[in-house]
Amino acid sequence: MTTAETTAGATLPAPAASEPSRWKKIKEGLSFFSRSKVALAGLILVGFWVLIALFADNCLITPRCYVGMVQGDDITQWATSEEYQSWLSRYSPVEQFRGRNREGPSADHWLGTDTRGRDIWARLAHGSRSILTLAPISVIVALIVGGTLGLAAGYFGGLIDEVMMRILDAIISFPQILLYLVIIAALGASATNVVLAITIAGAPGIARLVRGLALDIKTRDYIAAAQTRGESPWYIMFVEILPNARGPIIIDSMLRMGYAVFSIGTLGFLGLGLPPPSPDWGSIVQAGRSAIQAGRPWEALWGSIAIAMVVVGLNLIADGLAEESQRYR
Amino acid sequence: MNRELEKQQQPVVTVEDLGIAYETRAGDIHAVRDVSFEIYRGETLGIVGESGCGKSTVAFGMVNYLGRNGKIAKGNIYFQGQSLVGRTPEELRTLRGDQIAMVYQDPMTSLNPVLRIGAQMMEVLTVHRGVSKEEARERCIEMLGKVNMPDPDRVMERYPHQISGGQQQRVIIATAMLNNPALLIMDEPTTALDVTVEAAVLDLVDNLRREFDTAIMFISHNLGVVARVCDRVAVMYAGEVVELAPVRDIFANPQHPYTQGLIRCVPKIGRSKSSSVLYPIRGRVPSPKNLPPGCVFEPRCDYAREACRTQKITFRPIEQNHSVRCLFAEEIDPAAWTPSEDLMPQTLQAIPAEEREPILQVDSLKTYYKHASSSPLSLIGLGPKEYVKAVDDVSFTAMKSLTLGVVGESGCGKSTLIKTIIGLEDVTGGKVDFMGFDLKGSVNTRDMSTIRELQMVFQNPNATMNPSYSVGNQLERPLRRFKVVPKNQIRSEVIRLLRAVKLDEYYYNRLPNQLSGGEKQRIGIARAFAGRPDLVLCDEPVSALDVSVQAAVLNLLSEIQQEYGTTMMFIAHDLSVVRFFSDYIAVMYLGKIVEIGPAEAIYAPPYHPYTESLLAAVPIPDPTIQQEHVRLSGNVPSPLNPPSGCRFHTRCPRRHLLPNDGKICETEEPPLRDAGDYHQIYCHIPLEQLREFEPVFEVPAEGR
Amino acid sequence: MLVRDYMLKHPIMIEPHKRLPEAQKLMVENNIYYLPVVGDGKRLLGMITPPRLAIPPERLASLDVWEITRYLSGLTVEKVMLKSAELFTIGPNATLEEAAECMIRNKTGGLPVIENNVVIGLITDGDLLIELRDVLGAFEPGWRITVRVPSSRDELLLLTRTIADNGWVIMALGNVRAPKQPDHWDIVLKVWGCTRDELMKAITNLEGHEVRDVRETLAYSYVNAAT
Repeated sequence: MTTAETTAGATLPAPAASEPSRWKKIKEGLSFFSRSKVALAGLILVGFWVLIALFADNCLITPRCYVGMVQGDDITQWATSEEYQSWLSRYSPVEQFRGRNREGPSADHWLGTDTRGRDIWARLAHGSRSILTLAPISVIVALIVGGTLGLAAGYFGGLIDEVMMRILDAIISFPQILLYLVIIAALGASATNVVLAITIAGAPGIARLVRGLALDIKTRDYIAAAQTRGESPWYIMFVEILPNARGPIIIDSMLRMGYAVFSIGTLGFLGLGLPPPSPDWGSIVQAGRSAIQAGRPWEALWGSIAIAMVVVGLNLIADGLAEESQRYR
Repeated sequence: MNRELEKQQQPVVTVEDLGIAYETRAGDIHAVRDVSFEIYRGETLGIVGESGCGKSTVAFGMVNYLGRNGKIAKGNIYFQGQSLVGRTPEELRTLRGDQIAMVYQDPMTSLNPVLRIGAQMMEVLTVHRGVSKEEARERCIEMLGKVNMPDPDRVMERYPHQISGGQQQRVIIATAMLNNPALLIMDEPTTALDVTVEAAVLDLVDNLRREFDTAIMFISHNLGVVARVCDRVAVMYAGEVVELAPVRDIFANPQHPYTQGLIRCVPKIGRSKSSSVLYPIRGRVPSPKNLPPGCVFEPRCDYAREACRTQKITFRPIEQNHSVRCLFAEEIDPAAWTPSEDLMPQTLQAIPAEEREPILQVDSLKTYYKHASSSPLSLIGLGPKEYVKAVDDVSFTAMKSLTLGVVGESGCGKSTLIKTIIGLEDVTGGKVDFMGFDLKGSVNTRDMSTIRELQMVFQNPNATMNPSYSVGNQLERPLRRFKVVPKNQIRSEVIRLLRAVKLDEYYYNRLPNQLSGGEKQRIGIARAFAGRPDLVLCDEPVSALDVSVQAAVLNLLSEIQQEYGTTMMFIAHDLSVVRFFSDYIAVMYLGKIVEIGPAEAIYAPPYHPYTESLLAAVPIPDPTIQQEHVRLSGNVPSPLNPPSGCRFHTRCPRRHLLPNDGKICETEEPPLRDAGDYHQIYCHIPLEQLREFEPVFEVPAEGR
Repeated sequence: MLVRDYMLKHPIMIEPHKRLPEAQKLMVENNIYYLPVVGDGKRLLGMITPPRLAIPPERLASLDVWEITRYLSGLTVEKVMLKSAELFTIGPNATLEEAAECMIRNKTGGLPVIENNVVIGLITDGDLLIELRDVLGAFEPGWRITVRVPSSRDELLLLTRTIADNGWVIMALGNVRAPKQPDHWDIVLKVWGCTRDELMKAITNLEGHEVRDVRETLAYSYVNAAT
């Protein structure tokens, strides 16, 4: 069979577009950024922090320093150990420079130092790691949960839809921040619980979006064709409907990623983020807050700018995607 | 030489060498090139052509409504002697408002859903002209009367969604005529309407043209519609006008090979597939990005010669009033045309009546939808239950290896009927017997062998395939599911299926968005036939396709049916297509079958009065055929609360034939009248009287 | 025979702010003599006729080329048109005679047709001439006969009955008081279905009927004469 295929393929005037190679697909994906200036700006903003997160130190080689792996007093010990080397961050995030607290930017400390004399740049660089892993993870979990609920509600309709959507509506009706507070306060502050909080708060929104898309797509003829083949509902939901809803879902999750970064920052600010010595962006702003009136706004300023950069960057990418998908509609 | 002609001397619109281009990233795309025509006062110029040939672009170009990236690249448009090209938007707006009006396909795009119809119509007069409210109201009511709107006073108080589509279109036309425009551009004004409504709207267009001396540019893809209302016809192909002639000449003596091809691929009314063949035009319309260097039609033309490939063809007159864009128009004799090898008609063996055996027996089938009543109690589920009786007490038999056509206006329940049979809707009552199996309940509850025997071909080519998967992938799925062939032969079976629907092997890896509508529909057919079903239900499989593609798909369907001996149920709203394709035909009205019988019997008396009015409304692509003038009044009643007795009694034009003006129709269900040979009519009028009806049209003699 | 049915619907019109050369071009290219000037919603503001296009020399400071150009470039339709106040118009329900009378009395050849203050058409002396020609049956084949009859009540009846009794057809008919003979009428008939001799015989039999002129017309004779 394969031989027949190849010879036929060679003789027939098969157009080039029939089987795009992997490289071509990647190239097409990248060319999107060159077409959309907005998305390119977003990519630069987010990409900057992704680079910093990857190469802040040698963790890529000695992966002991991921979020939550080194805790408490260990972190100080470990940061000064032989094993540890700072790359882009220049210093360890926990190293305290005596007598140099609350300084402004200088050649030694690019962004200045905080109350305890730690280098703000190093702390932001390491903080980006937790935020850039937690945000996508929480969005993906929310997507899985919300997407499944939304698909089922949209496809089955009727009572299932009614009950499910009312419950989700009830969750949406709580202020998000209150939800976070309740969940984190009840379960304690940890990376897992942050993910959990964001999932619970974000899933209803995703479910609504996916339900709407499913309601639309299930009226298409190809769904009826699948039904007349006697396909199971789960096959239809995940194989026939879901891939056709991917456009809006991807755009939405980009935006959601921005909100997640925001939420993680907020949680940190409220002291509900990652426990203290770990360099969390929200807690950096929180710690710097009291120093603003003392004329040393650096810590709060840099922390806020970092959060803003990532949020704005993700929003810009989402905008670019939305624009692009509309153009081809 | 008469008065009309003398007054017409100045055309209302003259289009000269018009070229319209769209700017894209890849450079300008010339969607319309070198189009010239003029329209005189009181004349209707029809513009026909398949989709994507630039008909609407010309219309939008005339009012400079081309969007941000469109522009008039060349040529000029003179309206009442003044050039429209290069006007400021402000000037064009006043012109458009006062002297040029447009009517679009979808009436809802031009009506504001939150304003009452009266307010929308009066606005035209009060805002620009400063006419007083009372006077404006009076004039609007008068104009609604002129477009035959029943009860204009009350329509003025309604919202657009409260009136039917046909009435909406009338409101749009009335609004357009309020300003007494010199030019009316109608872009497929009847495409979204049912035949009976369409016929009424076309009559209206013709009357208005006479009364107001308006020049009308009428765009349509339907040759029948054009034949009915137009004085002259311009045939467009790939952005160029290829032929322009008076309507009779276009149909009786077409000179361009494309026009000839178009006329050949439309089924003639009253012809069946056993007595005539449709000849599709091979190939497809070239995209404006990628035009052939010479004649645009050359790649699809049977008469193409070397000269056609190299030079651009000019649009030249060959007779008075008859111009054509073809080098060899005089040499081509359409009568001497013979189809090329692959289009030769295959002989269809008719199955003799005694060998016909039933495969599907439907016995008083009912499908009701629950409908939430407007009472507040229904919010909590306590309100009175109301049902939409989409299919109500329908019985018929489908014969093995033959085609049963189902016709009727939209909302008559024909789609619901086949969806119920296939199991996409739940059966409310009655019995469906399929080869001894009792089909009840939805598709989930049926076993795999029954599912496999019943398949469906869908209407909308753009929705029939899942855009996320390749063609091969989607054809493999039913093969795997129904275990038609062993696993290792699936790929070769897919390729065999592709070849069966006349597609090449390389379509295997194509994604649906790389295919044309006709190709998608072929894949849809291949998918339906993949499980080798016994009964295929076709829900308007060709109504969304262009005529040339439609012919090819119809041929393909009948070929496959012949090969597999499949039984089909075929829904279409186009009566010529149904007649062409079907052996038996059922006519439905409001959820009931009013007439059923062999196809040729349906199209000749005795008729059910409803069938008669349907036939009188069919637009026939031949201006020489005289059709009887029967028009239905009123709207299709709501299936929520159907009329008592005979459901057709509210609109029946033949009721007066019965004693007491048809009192009996309002109270009693019509009896079944058997005209023999399985031809049944449900009507109170006795068969003898039905037989005396004049035929709606003379069916031309059989043969080419 | 009302203006409504014989006027030109959708006449070419112009807006007041257009420059004069544009109006001139429109009139020359389309070969028209009456150009109604309309504002928003086709309300009549005035009309341009060929005399209005001439430049009155006293308006110019000098006959210098530059001066003329300057003057022309500033000239809009609004400035030269006959204002609607000085303009004669007619309603669509007026008779053709009324339209003719209005034109004769006011020495004009074109009347805008107004309904609800909106221009719905234009009727010109040309339209009236076309009607005169058609009323007299110019394009109908047959015998055109002019008969002078005394002014009495039943002469027309007599004449038409004679023709009807013979089974001939009257294609057109005109009836007018004879010039310079106020007690006689001239009747012009277009009769079809007979020979000249039959016709002459039948009419000369009638007392007091004087055949002034007989000639045959064919359907296309006028078309040929025109070309």
